Amino acid sequence: MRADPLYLTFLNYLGGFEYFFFTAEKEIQVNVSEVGQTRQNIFPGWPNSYGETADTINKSTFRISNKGMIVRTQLLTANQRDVLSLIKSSPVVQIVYSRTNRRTVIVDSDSFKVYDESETTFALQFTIIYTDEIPSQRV
Amino acid sequence: MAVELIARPIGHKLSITQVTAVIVDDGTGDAIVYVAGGHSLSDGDYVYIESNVEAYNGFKYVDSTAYDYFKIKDSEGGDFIPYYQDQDITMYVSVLEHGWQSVHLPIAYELESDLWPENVAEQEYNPNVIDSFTSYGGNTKINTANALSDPVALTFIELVGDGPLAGAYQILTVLQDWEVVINLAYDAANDFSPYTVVKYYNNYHINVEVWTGLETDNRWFHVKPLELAGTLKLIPDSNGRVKFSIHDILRGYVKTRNNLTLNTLPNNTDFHTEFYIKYSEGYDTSDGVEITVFEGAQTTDSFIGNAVNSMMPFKSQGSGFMSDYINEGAFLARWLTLFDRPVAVVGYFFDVSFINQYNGVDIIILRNGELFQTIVNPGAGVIRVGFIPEEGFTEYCLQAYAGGENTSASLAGFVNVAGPDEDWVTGATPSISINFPVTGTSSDLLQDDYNFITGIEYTVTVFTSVSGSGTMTIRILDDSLNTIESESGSLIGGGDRSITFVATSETTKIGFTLFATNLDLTLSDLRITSAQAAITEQLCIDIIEECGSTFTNDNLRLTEPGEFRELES
Repeated sequence: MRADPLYLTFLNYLGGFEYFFFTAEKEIQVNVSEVGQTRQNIFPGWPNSYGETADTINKSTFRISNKGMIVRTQLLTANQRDVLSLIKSSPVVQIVYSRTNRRTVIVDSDSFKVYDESETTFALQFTIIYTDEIPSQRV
Repeated sequence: MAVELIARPIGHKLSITQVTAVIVDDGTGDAIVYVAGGHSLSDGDYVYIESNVEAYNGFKYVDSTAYDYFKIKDSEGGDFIPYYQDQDITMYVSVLEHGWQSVHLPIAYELESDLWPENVAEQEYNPNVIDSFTSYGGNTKINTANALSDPVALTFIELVGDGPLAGAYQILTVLQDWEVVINLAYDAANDFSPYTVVKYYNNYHINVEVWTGLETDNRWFHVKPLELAGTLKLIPDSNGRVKFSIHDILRGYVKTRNNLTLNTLPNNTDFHTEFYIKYSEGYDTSDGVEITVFEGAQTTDSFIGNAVNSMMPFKSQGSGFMSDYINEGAFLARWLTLFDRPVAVVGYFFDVSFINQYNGVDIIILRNGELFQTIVNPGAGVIRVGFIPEEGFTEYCLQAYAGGENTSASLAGFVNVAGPDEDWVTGATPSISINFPVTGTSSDLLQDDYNFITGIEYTVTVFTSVSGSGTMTIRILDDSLNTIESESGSLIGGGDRSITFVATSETTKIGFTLFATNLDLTLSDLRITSAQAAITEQLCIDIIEECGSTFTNDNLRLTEPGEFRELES
């Protein structure tokens, strides 16, 4: 069963943009980069602050998180493999929804695998991280 | 000379033809290239040399000494490459010198001064010596054989030679042009005989202004007008030279972003800026009381380069030269993609870029041999050809063409080049009358500039009305009015005359001359047409449906035993 396709563009070192349509299955991740926690002082409300009806002592105050995605390619030619490998060194990588609707992502610097499926076929896997934070409230 | 520009950031596009030759000693210690059968090169050409001797390798400026010999330099103003040993070489001739450069790599110039640190002109051509010296208030008063060069109190002289007194000294008092007091404590034992005296340019420096933006002949010049981007103050090295790169300054004028609603698209002005430099020299001067900084006259370099948002590694695996992406005649530019066959998907936006060197020229994009897009005068720069693939195609084979001009040019700007022959009457319809001289007579040259695009074939046609007969020559000229191309034919009863030629960087003017015994001629119209010329290679893009396979390699082994797998689920 085909996953939702992903259409990426990236700036190559020549000064042009490359496009590729990723149709293989992907995995969605949520990366939490920062967490704020607070510990409530139970003394002012003692003893109710520690009773059955009291709130928990520890609570989260904020979370900064980004969506991520493990991208896998369908089978590639050697040239496609070589060119798509350069996505890791590109300063501009975007998901293209339309000409006027794009979303900038960052290719995770550590996640990159090249699979040799046969002498002439290959596959890539890498992780992209959305630059927009997932909306969440602060306490 | 004071400051001379000896190296510019020139790129080269190489012929694919390999030439074998040998480098030998020219007898004076310089390397000289011998090409059996002749080299067909001229002074100012460039070659790219590969050999086993480091000093011979790379892009070299050609200084032709014979039909089969030439010497080599790193640049026009550079020194000849010295001879090290006999060496077989292979070389490629540069078919195009261009100014397109990667903004993320050094864009280097080199300047040379003959004033500092050595005052070459005085030292070599007008040596001055100290005839005598005496004490003057405890300092040394020197008398020179000839007048010093513009001696003024508080300026400096230099004693040049081997010895402890060599160095710069400030003039404290000027008694005569050949008699000055310097800030050297008097010592009767001093010996000035080993030294020559020259003017010393204290605090010498070279100022370089870096200008960038788009020239007025670019359609989008108002979006990125030329402006002063920065000023460099440079001090020459011990050889009087200074080498510097301006790419760091220019990088501020290139935006690395993907703006598909940029006002200037398809010209991606984010990725391109033109540049040139102005340079001058400066040093301390004095009116005898106060020291001020003298700034010399500024020289504007005529070379205009183009910096693009690219980072082409030099000689790295899997890459080539940026020049591969510049068009020159039969050597077409490559598209700015690394895919052998990019894959686009029906219904999804796609674009591919190429470098356009031409201003004032329409670009057409052919798709599978038919007109796909017309880009009206996009201007020089990085052109993004965007489209949404349509159903019904398995591939888009794109190729960009330039030219296709068919215009009526004004004759009003043509001028008569004064000479001994019959003058033209200039105006909107220039005319000339030659009526029964003793023998046939010629006309002066009638000429005007025209901005031909290098590499494109043009036909220039002039329409006339004629009474009498004569022979008319249409000339295509260079800036110095030398004839590059010409076509002659008789004029009887009017009609038109034309010439067809391929423009080069030298073809910058159109001219007309006549030879007749009885002729009244009026030029009524001038028409210039040009064929469309391919400027890029053909790039074939596979078009797939959204549910199709992006894997299009024909040699995929789908059904070999044990290796069968479904390509895409």
